[in-house]
Formats: sequence, C-alpha cells, structure tokens
Amino acid sequence: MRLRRALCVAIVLLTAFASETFSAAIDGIGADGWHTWRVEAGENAADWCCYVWNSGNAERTGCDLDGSRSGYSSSDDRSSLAPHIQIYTLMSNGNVLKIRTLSSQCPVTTRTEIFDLGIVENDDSVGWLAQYVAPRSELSSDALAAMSAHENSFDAIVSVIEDRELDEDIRRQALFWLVESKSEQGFEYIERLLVGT
Amino acid sequence: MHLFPKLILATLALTISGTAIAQSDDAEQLKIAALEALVSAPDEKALPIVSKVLAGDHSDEVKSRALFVLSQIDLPESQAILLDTARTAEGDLKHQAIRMIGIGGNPDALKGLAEIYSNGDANTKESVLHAYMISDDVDSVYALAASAVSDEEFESAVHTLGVMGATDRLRSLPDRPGASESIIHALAIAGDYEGLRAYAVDASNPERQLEAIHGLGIVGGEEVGPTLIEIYRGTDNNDVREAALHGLFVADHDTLVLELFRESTNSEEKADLLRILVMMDSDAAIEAIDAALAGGP
Repeated sequence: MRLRRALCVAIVLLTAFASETFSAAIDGIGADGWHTWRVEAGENAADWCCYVWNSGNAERTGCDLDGSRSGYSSSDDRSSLAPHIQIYTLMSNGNVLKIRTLSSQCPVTTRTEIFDLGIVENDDSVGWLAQYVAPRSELSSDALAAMSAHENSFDAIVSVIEDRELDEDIRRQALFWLVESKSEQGFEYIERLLVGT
Repeated sequence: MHLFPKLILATLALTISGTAIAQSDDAEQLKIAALEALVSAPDEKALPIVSKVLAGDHSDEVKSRALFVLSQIDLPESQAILLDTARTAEGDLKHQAIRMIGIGGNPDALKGLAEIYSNGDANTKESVLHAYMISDDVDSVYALAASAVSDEEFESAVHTLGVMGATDRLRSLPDRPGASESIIHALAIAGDYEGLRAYAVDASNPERQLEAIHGLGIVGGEEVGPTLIEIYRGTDNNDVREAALHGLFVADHDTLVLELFRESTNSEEKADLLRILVMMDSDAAIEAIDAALAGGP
C-alpha cells in the first residue's frame, strides 16, 4: 500500500557536525532551509512552544516552522521546563531569514528538512546570534529573545543595553528580554539600574 | 498576573514608547524602559524593585511608570503601596496613583479611595471618580452621589454615572432639591430614552420637563420622534411646544416636522415649522415650499 504523505513532513534531523566543530559549522551554514542547534537553557528559561487556548487553558501543541505565526509563548508550568533550548534559523541564498527559539521538548513540523548541528557551546551560539541584533531589523528581537534563553547570556545582553551607539529600540528590547530571562543576575542588574544599589 | 497577559502588556509598552528614548536623558529613559520590561516579570520579583523606585529620589515620570507596574502586580502589598501613594503623594503623582488603582481594579484598593475622596480637594475628587469610572465601579460612584454634601459633588458623581451608562442607578437616586437637572443631563449622556421620556411627559414640573425634552433630542433615535410629536400635540404650553420642536430639530426628524407643518392651520406656526425645516437643510423643506406655492397644505 502506498503511504500517504502528510502535508507537513515529519522532521528529518540530520546530525551534520559534532559539537566541538560547531563554530565552523555555524559559520559555514549556507544551505537553504532550516538549521538547528541545541544549547543549555537558562535556569528559569521559559518553556517556549506553540499553544492554543482551550476554555481559558493553554494547551501545548507543536510549532509549524513554515507558519506565519512566530510569536513567543510559554507556560507557567515549571514542571515542563526543559534543560535545553533549540535554536532554529532559516537560511536562503546565504542570508538568515528567520530565527526561532523553542524548548528542545517542543515538537516542530516543516515541509523541508532540518539540518541539525547538535548540541553546541552557549558562547558560540550567543556569539552567532549577536551578529543579528544590530543593525535593527526584523531579526533583532528574535536574536535577543534567543540569546536571553541561553544560560550565561547575561553579559552579552547587558552589553547591548549599555551600548549607546546602538539603536535605542534595540537597547529597550534587550532590557525586555533580560527580564524575560528571569535570571537572578538579570533582576539584580535591573535593580541596580533603577535604584543604584 | 499570568505570563500571557503580561507579555502582551509588556510588548504593548515597548511599542508605545519605542521612539521616546532618543529624545531624553539616556539614564532616565533606560530606567523607564527597565520599568516597562518589569511588567512581564514575576510579581514577587517586580514588587521589591518597584517599591524601592517609589521610595527613592526619582523623577515623577519614572515614578509614574513604577505606579503602572505596581498596578499590574497581583499582590496585596502592591495595592497597599498604591493606596498609600494616593494618600500621601502630591500633584501629578497622587492623581496617577489614584488612576492606577482604577486601572488595577482591586476591590480593596477601590474601597480605600472613598476616604481619599472625602478628604480630598476638587481635583482629587475628580481623579477618584475617574478611577471608579475606569474600573466600572458603579456602586462606589452611586454611593458618592447619594451621600454628596454639595451640589458640585452631586453633579460630578451623577455626570459620571451618566458616562458609565448607569441608568438604573440614576433613576434610583434619592430625592434631592434641584437634582433633576443634573440627573436629566446624565440620563441624556447615558442615552436613557425611557428615563427621559418619563420626565418629558410629566408636566407637573415644567422646568424639569423642558430639560427632559431637550435631553430626548440629544439622545435621538427612531423612538424619540413619535414621543416628541406626542408632547408637541398634547400641550398648550408654548415653551414645551418649542422645546419639542427643538428636540425634533436636534434629533434630525425632518419628516415629522413636515408632518406638523402639513397638519397645522395656523400661519404663524406654519412659518415657524418651515423655518425649522430650512434650518435642517431638509428636502422636506423644498417639498413644503412647493406644496405651499401650489396652494396645498
């Protein structure tokens, strides 16, 4: 019997490179399509996934990477937090078109293959994402959101907040995502900024 | 507060204030941005920071943003701080704190505004009424109207009830000398046809009747026209007839004015009605003029 092919093809995760070669791998990504890698999540990183509202309750569903919806949603249910987050980036003709950040436990679908770079070092991932924070573009906020979900991304985000050369809206968004990271260090920084202690 | 609404609020705050930062002092604007970001923080994290901002030496603008964050924190302490600020602060900050209590809508904090109202000056009283209006707290506004110690207080509270569309409460206010004008104005603001009609057809108090007829014109709508015609036809009082005619004019019922014109046998009255039709810039006026020229009614 001929198998019916679903509209959304199941993801084919291709582990292309080992983590120690990640920097080279990420620098070299150029093939059209989605690429993904996994990093350690911040201590209080939200369980980002796609949800539908059902009778006032958020019901977790998978995310369609090809869909137009690209907002960030999370659940207050701490029991579902994952130790890792998954970064997805869509490439076309050597350019980054989209950056999405989801919990590593969040199922995704897409009509194309996903090239999986595996588990990578947080610093490498944050460094790569930081390239897309400025100049201001549609990727700026998504890059900051992704950075904020990484463990030990505090310094990188604060450097954006304190860079007076940067677009003010980007700095404002960095503050927003610093709070969203819900890290102790982040709240201490906000308190110092506001009350100087 | 749950995360989803908080995220929406925070994103909204980001959008609204996105262009302001370049125009003012960098540190000040960073503080404001940090406060806006705190809207999405867990309550127990945001509260101590915001409390310190309010207690510290900051500009009114920064403290004002802190008050907004406080209004979104669903903890008893946050409401207590808001209420305390509403009691003790001065100037804009005091009014902002009162407003934020309205936005927050916490029942206990709203109750606390009653004391601030009774001890406050005219501006404070107005802010409290506005806060009640924001939170749709009809009961509190009604209580202030019912216990008002001056005509000004009564009129402000009744006006607020009208803006809130609290027609049942307006109709149930206890008798008060000279109160009917305020109540009728409020009924007109609330668009309460039935309430106004009751006063408009009651000739026992001519002044009140005229106010109510005027109010019906402002309310307008299909049902108002026949009532005004009924009042016009059923009275010998010229003031009442003039008020009903004016009501028809305001409510733009030109076909009814034409009807009155056609049935009138009094040349002076016909001239008045024709004048009204012309003022209404109505096709009915041309119709009436053509009929008059043709020797018709």
